[in-house]
Amino acid sequence: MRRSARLGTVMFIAAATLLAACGSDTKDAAVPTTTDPAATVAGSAASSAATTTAATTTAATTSTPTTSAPTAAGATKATATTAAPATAALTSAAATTTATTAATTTAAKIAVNPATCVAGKTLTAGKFTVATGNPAYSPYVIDDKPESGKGFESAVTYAVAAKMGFKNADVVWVRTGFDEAIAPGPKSFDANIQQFSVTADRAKVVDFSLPYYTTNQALVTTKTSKFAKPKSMADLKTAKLGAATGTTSLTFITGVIKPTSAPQVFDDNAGAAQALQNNQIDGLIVDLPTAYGIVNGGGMTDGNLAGQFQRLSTEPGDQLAYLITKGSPLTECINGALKQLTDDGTLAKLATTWLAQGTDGVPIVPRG
Amino acid sequence: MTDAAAAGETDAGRTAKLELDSVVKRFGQRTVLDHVDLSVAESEVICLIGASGSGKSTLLRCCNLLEPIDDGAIYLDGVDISEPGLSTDPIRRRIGMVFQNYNLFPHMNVLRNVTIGPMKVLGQSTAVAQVAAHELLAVFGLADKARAYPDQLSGGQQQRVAIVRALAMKPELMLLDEITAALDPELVGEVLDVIRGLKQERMTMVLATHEMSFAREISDRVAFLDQGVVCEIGSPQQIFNDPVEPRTRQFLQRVIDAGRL
Amino acid sequence: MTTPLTRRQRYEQRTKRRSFAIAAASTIVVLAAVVVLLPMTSGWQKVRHSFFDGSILRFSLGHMLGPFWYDVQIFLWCAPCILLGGLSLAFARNVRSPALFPLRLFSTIYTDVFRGVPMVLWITLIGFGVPGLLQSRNLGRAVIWGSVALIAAYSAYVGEVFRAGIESVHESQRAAARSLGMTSTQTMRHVILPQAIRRVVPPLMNDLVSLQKDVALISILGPVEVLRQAGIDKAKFFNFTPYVAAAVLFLCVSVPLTRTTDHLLQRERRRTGATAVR
Ligand SMILES: Nc1ncnc2c1ncn2[C@@H]1O[C@H](COP(=O)(O)OP(=O)(O)O)[C@@H](O)[C@H]1O
Ligand SMILES: [Mg+2]
Repeated sequence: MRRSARLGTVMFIAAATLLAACGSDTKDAAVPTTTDPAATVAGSAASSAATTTAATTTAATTSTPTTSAPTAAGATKATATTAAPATAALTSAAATTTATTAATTTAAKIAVNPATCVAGKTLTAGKFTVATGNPAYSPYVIDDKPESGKGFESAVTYAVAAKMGFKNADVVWVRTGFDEAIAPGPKSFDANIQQFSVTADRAKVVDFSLPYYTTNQALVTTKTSKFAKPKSMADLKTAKLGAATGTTSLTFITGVIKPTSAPQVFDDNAGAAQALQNNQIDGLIVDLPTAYGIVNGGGMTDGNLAGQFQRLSTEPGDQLAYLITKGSPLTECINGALKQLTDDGTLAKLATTWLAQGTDGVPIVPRG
Repeated sequence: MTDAAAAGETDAGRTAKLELDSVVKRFGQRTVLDHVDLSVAESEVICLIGASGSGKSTLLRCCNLLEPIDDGAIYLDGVDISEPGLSTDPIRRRIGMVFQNYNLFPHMNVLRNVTIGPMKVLGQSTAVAQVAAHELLAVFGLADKARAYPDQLSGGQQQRVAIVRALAMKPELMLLDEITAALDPELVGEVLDVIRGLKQERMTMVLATHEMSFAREISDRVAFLDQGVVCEIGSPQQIFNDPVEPRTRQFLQRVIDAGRL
Repeated sequence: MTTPLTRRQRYEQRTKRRSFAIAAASTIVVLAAVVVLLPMTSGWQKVRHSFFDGSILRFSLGHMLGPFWYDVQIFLWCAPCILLGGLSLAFARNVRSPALFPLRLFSTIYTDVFRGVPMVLWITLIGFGVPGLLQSRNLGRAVIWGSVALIAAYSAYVGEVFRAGIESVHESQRAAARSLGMTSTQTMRHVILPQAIRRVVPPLMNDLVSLQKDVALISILGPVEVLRQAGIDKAKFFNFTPYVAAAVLFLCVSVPLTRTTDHLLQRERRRTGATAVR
């Protein structure tokens, strides 16, 4: 979801995914993913149903990215993992757990040529209207200026638009809140990009594109916190954790970390960071790129990126995708563009450019 | 016999004398009482007459310390009660005051209106206060109204309750401010009867009134106030039949013209 | 044998029957319009799904009871504190003694400042600010300082309500009480306040009902109360039905609350009052 996006999207499975991604099959493996555990890989498209399975398998392999002994697919990954910084990757459709079905379906249509696909399908003929948050956060959008092309989501959007045959000038940015994006009724955008995480429940209500990035959930603490260097997720059982409302980070706390005290939930990361500074909570869960933004963006004076959580094979990772009106004919066009961008390595490159600094080398917190 | 009962008994009959010595009261620039001298002997009844705005109410409110005076002094039984900084509450409880508009407490029934003073101020128990209240209410023909609320009573009944409320405090002096002015003519009588009764019991009273015939009947002395000055004071016969001051004469002429004497 | 109705009784019966008919007819017309016309709008299906999804409603109602109870608890301890705080402010603004002028000045400034800034800001400023100073997990709990913020700001509103009530009691009531020898405290306690409070119950209920809703603002500080839970569920399903569930819960409390006070007031009025004028 949007916030999650902002915050931490991570939750999904870092390790697993990346592994999965990498590992996942052969085909995927072929893809140039570097992945670090956290990030995932770009899975290239999962073309087929096979992907899913593949993913699973892979995931299974990778349990601990750091140490990981790769299995079949593993070899690649293993290396990747250690060395690698976060990658952004998008996994292809297959990876997503929940979204599997939707993704698979889309996958089938991926052959669509984005350049010829869009005619007559956008809100305004000849324009690609894209919504982002208000404000939009770094590193997804730099300085809250999506039209600059700076920041990961902004750059991805211009790349997608180009694949669909739009000039940069044809991309029109609008702003929406989260509620507006999911409210019934006509939308003000063709596609909405603000770190919406794909989940099965949500996919019943809106269309998601293929993911353009998959990330892990991460933990931010203060430097002096006793949770500043967790050895495993179990260390966090006694921690009082916070997350922004509606995020997959929150779901990650309640569903995966399961600490003994109830999570504190904030309107946004700013509030959560303040509570952390005030020692009202021990840690803040957000997606990895956002975590970097919080620690280094001046939001906190003694913030500490304590680590990113290992992703299990059964988890798809926190997959970020465009949100599109349910049943929109444009979905397949955007997917076609994303598929090409994945295949030609553009997405991975953009992720390196905009996100690697914050995601590389962040220690992995294993399960257990 | 307990101390309280003893005190109550002696109090019952006690009345006080009141003296105003050159009292000045100003509201802003305006002098409302201008060096007023007045002395009220024990058990004396004095009526204040005068045009509307002449300062009758203000004089009564000053006697009860509801208004602080700017100059002069007021003595109750020879004690200066106008001394600034003096605690006013113990003095006020000795003085009963009844207002033109009754000023009953609308959220309390009649019994509570009458007992609240004795209970909260004199510290009487509920039982003692209620017994006394029932007695007084019966004397004034209100026995069946104890549970009624002020809004459910006629004006005459309300004014009688207000008098009972003041009497329940066993005051040594009563100040009554145009207590019949808000009443329909046929209700005036029942309230005036009450005052006649009080005179019989030798209560010291100062009344502001427009009922000239009543003033003539009940007063020991009548004081005519004009623009904050006691213009003339004397026996009712002298004031009403043979006023010395031209202003008194003018005032009475107007009253006669209006058919009120 | 029944006595024949008087002219007035017959008239009243007729009027009653007619007004009942009017009320019933207009209710039916409105309801019918809603039931018939709403589904005819083009977006109805979408709206129904977004706001009135049966299964999500059941899901939300079920697990929102806990968070809602949390709201109710906060309300239950804030409300008395606010009434006390409001009363104290009202007293402070009403002091007559010149010696206490600073107190009056303070309460005036306090009221201006706390009423002049939106609630959300107080919650944020106090709820994040004070714990930042304290740096203590226990003393810095969000619910404590969130409640303090609510109490501080609502006291200013309620204080004005009380002040208006106190000032609406005629000066002659004070004079009557003081002339009996009551102290100013006794006068306030037994004469002025009871009348003032009766008068301000309706506006006070306004403030209490809106307090009940503003309690949800504490969620800014982290605790998961009902509105936050609804927001989380909304984000989970991409569906607004959880908000409708929250609305239902709020109504379950506020409607009985306001109806009961209205009823009590009415009874009080009948008990003490003269015949109502029609
Ligand atoms: N609280 C007050 N403030 C200012 N002026 C007052 C106040 N009370 C009375 N006055 C003025 O004092 C004068 C005397 O009033 P009052 O004693 O009520 O007269 P009376 O009772 O004889 O009609 C009037 O002119 C009145 O306007
Ligand atoms: Mg007068």
